[in-house]
Amino acid sequence: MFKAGPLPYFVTDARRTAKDTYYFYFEGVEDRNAAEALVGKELQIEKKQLKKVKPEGYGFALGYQIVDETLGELGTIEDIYDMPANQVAQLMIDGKEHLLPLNDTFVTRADKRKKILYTNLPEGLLDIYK
Amino acid sequence: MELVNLGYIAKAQGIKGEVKVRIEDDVMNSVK
Repeated sequence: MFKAGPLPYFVTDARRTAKDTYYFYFEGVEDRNAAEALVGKELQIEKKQLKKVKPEGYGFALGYQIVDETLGELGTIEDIYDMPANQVAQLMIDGKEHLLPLNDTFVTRADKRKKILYTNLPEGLLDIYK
Repeated sequence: MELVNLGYIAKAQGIKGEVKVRIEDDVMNSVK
């Protein structure tokens, strides 16, 4: 029986949206159906190629504390998702998952040394989770 | 050429055929 070895795919573009989350585009994989066929496949990449992909947007902030100007300390960013309009931070507040928008309107400052994102969230945003 | 094993492709998304991979901490640490 024939056993297939690894198949090379050339990376045409790559994005890193969080500390541990990457998106890759491969030559010859031009639509979602072609990409679906790769789900579950093991992926290897050249180490130096991976190092070149720097986090974009607020991807650097995974694990940062969110401190809001009005609400105070809210919690730690556990994950960051890409949404069409902007990235959102997932954090647990009082045991409930909350998704908070990460954009330049609501994030006022990032302290990378202390790993804190300072925000000015719209009034009532957290009320939707009550 | 040093290859790193990133694990498994978790998801396909978008219309342009992008695939998402979430990489375990130990792999990320080995890349630093």
